[in-house]
Amino acid sequence: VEQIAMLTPLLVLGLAIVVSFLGSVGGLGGAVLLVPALVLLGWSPIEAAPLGMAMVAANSLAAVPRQLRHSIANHRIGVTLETAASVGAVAGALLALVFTPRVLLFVLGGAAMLSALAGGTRTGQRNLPVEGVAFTDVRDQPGRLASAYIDQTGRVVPYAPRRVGAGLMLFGVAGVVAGMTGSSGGYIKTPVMSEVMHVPVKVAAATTVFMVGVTAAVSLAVYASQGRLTSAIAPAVVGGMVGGRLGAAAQPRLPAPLVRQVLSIVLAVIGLIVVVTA
Amino acid sequence: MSEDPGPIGSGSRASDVLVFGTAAAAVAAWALPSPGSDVAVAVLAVALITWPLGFFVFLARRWARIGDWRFVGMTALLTVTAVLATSVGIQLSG
Repeated sequence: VEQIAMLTPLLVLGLAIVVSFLGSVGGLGGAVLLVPALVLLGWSPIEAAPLGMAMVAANSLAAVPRQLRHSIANHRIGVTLETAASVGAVAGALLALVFTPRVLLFVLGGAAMLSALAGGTRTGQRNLPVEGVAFTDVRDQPGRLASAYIDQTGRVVPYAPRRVGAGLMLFGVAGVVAGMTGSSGGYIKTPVMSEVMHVPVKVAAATTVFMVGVTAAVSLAVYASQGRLTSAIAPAVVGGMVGGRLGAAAQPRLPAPLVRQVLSIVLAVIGLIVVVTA
Repeated sequence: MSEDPGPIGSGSRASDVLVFGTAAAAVAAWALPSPGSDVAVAVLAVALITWPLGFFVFLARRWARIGDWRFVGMTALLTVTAVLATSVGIQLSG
């Protein structure tokens, strides 16, 4: 029994590293993967939920320095869309008092699997590198969501988000889901940016990693007020940071179609988990 | 051509320090016996909960320097909604 007690934090550490790595590359919080895994290992959902959110917050925090150095995350898009998600989260927290999230979870599990199908079967790249453009001329444009990133071959890829109104609405929905289910909703946010708004998948993934940190911080504040943050979160935090750093380091070197494929596989798994556990 | 918002990577060193400090608190929370681990958990919780607010201030100052007031306002709005979401969550859970 003592050996099992000693092994449990190491198991949480290992799971958190793997999930955070995938989350950082594919642009997901990862709580939706870690919490069911812990529940399968015998944790109660009440105990497992703070570990999931602590891992998401740590992953997000660990990715910030690299995001600032590589300018992949679009913080203007992040701040704009996360505002809609935060309003949705308040509504979701209130709706959770009235409605059961079961039907919503079925819909969202289906949506995650459809997103996986759409992203996984799409070939080619929507935003292509442009020769002869200086990165400093097209990135970080005041008052605009359009920007650029440097791909794995060192070329500049400019982009401009489309259907911002639809994106805001869907982020509101993602916020409602996050508020109702206590997840970060990252598995909705990245596909919305990538498939609906046509933001390059690597930018969408990095931006989501920033945004889920905000959602996770809100959830952790609530858990702290309930006295549910104990030393049990420490392995999840360390794992989140290690996996987040590794994922953030790997992501700029990966081709966008590969990132999309990884995201599609993880989304299909998440869709299945959400439907089965709903 | 856009105005230069500062060198690429500005702010990354400060965030490196924050990441290192948070990781150290997590290791201390794991390794130390109580009451040391209790203090480390408290430090860890404060770091994980408040870092987005510090990052919002960083972004708002960066955008204010180049006169991008639209996104300074958006950052302020996000700060308000995040604080509102936190207080509603705490009220409901209480």
